[in-house]
Amino acid sequence: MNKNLLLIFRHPPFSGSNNRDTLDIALACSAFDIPVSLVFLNDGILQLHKNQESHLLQQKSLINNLNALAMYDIEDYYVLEDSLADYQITTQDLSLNCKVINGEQLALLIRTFNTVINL
Amino acid sequence: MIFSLLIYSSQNSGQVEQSALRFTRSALEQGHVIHRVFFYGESVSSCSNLKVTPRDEVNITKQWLTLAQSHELDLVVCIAAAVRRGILDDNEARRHQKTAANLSTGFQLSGLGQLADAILSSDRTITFGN
Repeated sequence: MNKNLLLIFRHPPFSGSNNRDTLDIALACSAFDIPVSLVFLNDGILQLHKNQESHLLQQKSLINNLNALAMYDIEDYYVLEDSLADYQITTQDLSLNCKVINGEQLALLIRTFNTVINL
Repeated sequence: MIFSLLIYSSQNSGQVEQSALRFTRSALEQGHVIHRVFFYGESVSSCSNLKVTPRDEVNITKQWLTLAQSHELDLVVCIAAAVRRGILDDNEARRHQKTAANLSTGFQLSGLGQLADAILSSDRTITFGN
C-alpha cells in the first residue's frame, strides 16, 4: 500500500520538543519517499509566526528548518482558520505559505492520509 | 494485521506506556504482527538499565523485554533522543567519551529512518503519546 503521512503541530514554539521532534519525523519520512503534509492548529500556529526572537530565550528557532522543508519536497502546509482567528493573525504573519482550512476541511483532510502522527 | 508503535510519553512507566504494552500483548495474542516498537522523545528513558523500580511498582522496561524475548519484538530507541537524555549504548558512550553505557540489553539505538521504515512496513502505525 502506498503510504502518505500527515503531521499535526499543535504546540507553541519553545514549549517543549514536540514540534522539533515532529519536524524530524517529516524529514526522515520524506527521505524514505513518503509524501508528507503538515497541519498547524491551536497553539501550533504560533510556531509559524515570522517575528520570533528566539535568541532572547537562548533557544534555537525552527523557522529556518521550516523554510528548508521545500528542499525536502515537503510543500503541503495547512493551517486552521479558527486558530488564526483566535490569535488574530493572518497568513501574512506566517513564515510558510499555508492553505487555510476550516474544521470540516480538516476532518476531510485527515481522512485522506493513511498515517497521522500527532505528538 | 501488521502494527508498529510509536511511543512518545513524558512520564516513564505511566499510563501511556502501560497502554502501549497492553496493546502489544493483546495484538500478539490475537495473532497480529508487531513490526517494531519505536521509542521517541522522553520515552527513551524507559530504556535505561540504571533505573530502580520500587518493589511494589510495575517495571515496564522488564515487561517490554520479557515480551520482546518471547515474541522477537524489535524495540528501537531513537538515537538522537536517547543520547541527549543520557541513554547510551557502548558505541555512543565511547564516541562521546562517557564513563558508562546504560541502554538495557534488548533495545537498539537507531535513527528515525527506522520509524519511516516501520510506517512503510506496517498496515497501521499507532502513536501512544500524551
